[in-house]
Amino acid sequence: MGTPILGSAIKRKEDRALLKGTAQFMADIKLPKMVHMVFLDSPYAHAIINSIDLSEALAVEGVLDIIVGEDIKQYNPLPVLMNPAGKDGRFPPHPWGFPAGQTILAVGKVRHVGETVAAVAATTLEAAQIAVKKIKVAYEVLPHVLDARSAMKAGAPIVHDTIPDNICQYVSWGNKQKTQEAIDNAEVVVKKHLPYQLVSASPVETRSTIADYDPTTEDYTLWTNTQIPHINRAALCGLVLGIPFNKLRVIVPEVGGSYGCKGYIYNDTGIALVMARRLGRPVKWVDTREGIYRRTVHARGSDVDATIAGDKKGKITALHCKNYATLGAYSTFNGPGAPAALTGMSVTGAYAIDNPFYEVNISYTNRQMVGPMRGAGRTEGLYVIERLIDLYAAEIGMDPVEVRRINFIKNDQFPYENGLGFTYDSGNYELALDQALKKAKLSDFDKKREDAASRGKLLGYGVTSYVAVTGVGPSPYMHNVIGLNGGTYGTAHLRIHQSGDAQLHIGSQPHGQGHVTVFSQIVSEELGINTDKVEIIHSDTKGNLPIGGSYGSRSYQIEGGAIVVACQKIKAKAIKMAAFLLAGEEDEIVHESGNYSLASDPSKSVTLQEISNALHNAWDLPSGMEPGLETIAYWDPKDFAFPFGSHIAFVEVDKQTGIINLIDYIAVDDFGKVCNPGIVDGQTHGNIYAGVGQALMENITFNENGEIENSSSLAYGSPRPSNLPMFTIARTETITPNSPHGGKGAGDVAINGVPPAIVSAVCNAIGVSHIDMPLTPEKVWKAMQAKP
Amino acid sequence: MISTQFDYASPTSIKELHQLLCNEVEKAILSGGYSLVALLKAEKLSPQLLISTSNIDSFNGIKASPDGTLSIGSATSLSEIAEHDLIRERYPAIIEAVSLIGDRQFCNQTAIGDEYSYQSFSMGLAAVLLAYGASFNYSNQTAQKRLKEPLMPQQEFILETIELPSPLGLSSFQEVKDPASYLPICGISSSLEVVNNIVTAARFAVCGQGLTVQRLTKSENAVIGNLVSQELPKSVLNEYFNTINHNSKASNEYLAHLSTVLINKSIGESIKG
Repeated sequence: MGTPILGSAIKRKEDRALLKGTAQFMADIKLPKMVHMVFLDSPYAHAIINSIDLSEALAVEGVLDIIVGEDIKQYNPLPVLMNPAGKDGRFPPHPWGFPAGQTILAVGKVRHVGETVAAVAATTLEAAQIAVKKIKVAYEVLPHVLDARSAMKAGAPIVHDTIPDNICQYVSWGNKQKTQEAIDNAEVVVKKHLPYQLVSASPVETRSTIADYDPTTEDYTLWTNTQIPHINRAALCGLVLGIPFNKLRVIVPEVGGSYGCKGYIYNDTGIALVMARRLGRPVKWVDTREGIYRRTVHARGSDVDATIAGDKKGKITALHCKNYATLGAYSTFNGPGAPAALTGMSVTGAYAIDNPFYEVNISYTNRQMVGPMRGAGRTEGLYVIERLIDLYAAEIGMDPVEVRRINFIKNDQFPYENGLGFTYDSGNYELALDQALKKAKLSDFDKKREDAASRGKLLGYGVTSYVAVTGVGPSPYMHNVIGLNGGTYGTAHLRIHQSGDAQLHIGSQPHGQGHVTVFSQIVSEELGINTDKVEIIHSDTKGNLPIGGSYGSRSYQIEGGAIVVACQKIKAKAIKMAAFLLAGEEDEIVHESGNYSLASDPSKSVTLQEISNALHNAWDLPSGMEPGLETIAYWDPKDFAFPFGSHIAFVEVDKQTGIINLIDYIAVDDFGKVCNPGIVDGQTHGNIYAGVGQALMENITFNENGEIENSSSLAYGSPRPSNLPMFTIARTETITPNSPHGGKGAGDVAINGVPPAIVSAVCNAIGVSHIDMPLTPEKVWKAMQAKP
Repeated sequence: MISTQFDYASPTSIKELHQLLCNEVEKAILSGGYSLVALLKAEKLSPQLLISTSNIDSFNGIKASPDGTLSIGSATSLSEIAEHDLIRERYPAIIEAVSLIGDRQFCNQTAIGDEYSYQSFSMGLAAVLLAYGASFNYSNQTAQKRLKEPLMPQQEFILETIELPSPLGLSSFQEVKDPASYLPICGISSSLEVVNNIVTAARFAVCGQGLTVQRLTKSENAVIGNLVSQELPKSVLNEYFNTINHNSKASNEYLAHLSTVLINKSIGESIKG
């Protein structure tokens, strides 16, 4: 048996094109007769559109067409496919009505700054840009509301006439009465307001769409940098535009980062398809950098009133969280999912808490839409429990690490129902914490703190532990509990060519994660085919099986699971054929590294290539066996997986300025059986990077008019490599029973430990109990000044 | 709309430059280009004519006069300035400020005039030059101006040279960067004359995101006559920031604190240096 390929850090197959600069991104695509499209956005957070005068804009040389809301009234609004409140949610998904749906262009009213009012198509980008400025819109400005709590108050401006109290839905998990009783009877009760600020995913590549329409065949083709091409196809065809399903093909070129923000059905896709049909020419739209903030979905923004209760010995007895969340002006297709389910079910973290309760009011406000991004929902919930544990520990005078140990779910408690709807699969939380602490070498901490003080710096550290759900499906749970209108199983279409090479069609959508490498490794591990001989076909709805897409750390676990099942089906047929070729019995066949031999006489063997050759020639097959070696597998997990970890951040705070220097970051994570350690290391680094941004600097802010104040890279800061230390990362391995290969998700997992670790470290450094994120220098300085 | 097409001119004399500046079309000076590109992309400028100053001899290079004055042409690159022996020897705060503006390639491309053409006043270089008591020599077709503070751009006057008098003796530039934008929240340049440990002359200038670069005369007066080791009290700058208008996201209280810290640090560093 050779070295297992699963678990090897082989080089990424994707990188050659990226490093050579030959990879094609949206902006690189040029089609014959292609025209350019530019949008006119609303400058107001809330206004009635009284009239639109296009005359001057249409007169600009090169302008071919302009469409406004009146031109698209026959089309349905964009659908909402996830509705955790079920029938009580006020936006039942299609086909049951859509009282607060987003039309692809504003009709009669705008509800946030940046909402699309008109689309101009012209032969040159310059002409479209000139024309868009000549459109005259008469607005009647209305009062607006920007935050969830204000939106719920009596007399607040109403975002949608159909939703008179602005509340989209209320969702709760756990037993409110029991939780309240436990709080009432507790020795220690700690209450804290814990906001989690709004941020942008900020990928390097902005969003973009190209649409083409062939009037002869009535075929549409859509190129867009999305994480969910199949959902886009299904939604745009059946639910929005009424295009026959077989008449729309969606292609995704290389994607320059997404982190969740390209995982939606955006209005620009619908507009481009409509425009392409009107013109009979390809239409291209590439957003600006500013558009990442104005026209791309924001994330986070939860606002939680939290209570933790326990005894004086460190045992937590109850947790109550009331969240005020907003969807923005409309709901994205999965908008309520993060605040309702992902945050709500995650708030107990790694701890066995007997009485948990979570409730959320999700409202509409006059802001850009809010939806999931890397760590969706879970980061918000886990931040709450981790901060509460530190505060509770301080209240009872106990080491917060000890409080964590006392309350950890123990190894013999798995599978563990957390009282909010999740059943944790497997874990060894103490082990990850122990390893992190060992690497942290805290025995030297006091000396290091003295050294730092001599330099005018305050040294601190913070410890966090987390558990994060991954692996969206299982389909029945996603529908019955979380209200998803669709299946979330994995699919794989695997073909073994006559040559013995493999071709795998997948519906998952890579956007930088390394799917081609990882999926090749799975096929190689299962079938003994060299990874170079595994071709992965993806990023095109034509020829690939429809699935939901890539998000929530699901691809390796779910699509990878389907690939394992497909390989097993291939192996089963190969064994039958091997037995036939070797004149043996099926149960005598031993498979190892692509070689099929007789157990009784190993000298008699055939390779997978020989088997495939025989099956493709079909000159002599067992009775009833079909020619060829090909299969389609669908795999739906029986439940989610729950990776976990413990992180420790070390910071130095400048006494005089409040500037924070992250000097060390230790992350010990457990993603179950890892396929490619190099790729997972990279994912972990990216997660820490994103978490540092959330903790220290990222924050979308609005002025009093509802305009985003920091819609540029200069104004919206994110960490730079020069700000960051070399991270210390390590892993434990606790396999999950909920995937065929034992792997859990990793893509948006490690981020969950980061923000609370950094906040805890800063608080530890300066000797305060809590500071809200982002920890700007001024905020930290003021916290130091306010100390008694 | 982002301008992508424009005419280009590269005059070789000041006279030719002035004639081009009288042109009625919207125009912009190309003096390195970094700030210009940023403003084009932000659609704050849409020139039909770009005028490079790099081929005018008197706009280039660094010249020392017998009286100790140093004249820097506005088209001189930041790299050339940072590598100049006399500047390194006599004006160390310029070296510190340039090192904080951008990387090597940026400094190779960007001319000192670029900083003054396009309002990059948040950067430290402007504050450093004010603290060194620089003069800014402008001209147009009919007049010349010698100013102690740079003009705001778009005023039909072109910056030809910057003259630096002999330094007071001690100088330093210190800043606190915003970790997000990397622009200074606050930067302080100091220039001091110290005799027998007593401050006999002082110039301080402040810069920062949302702040107008300017001298801090009250702070200067507050330290003159003091022992150089005596720290400036915070109250002086509290009063200053409570009376000026600015667009900084930082509060007056924090700006006053940072300025005080930086002035004291700046004095400390200049004594060391």
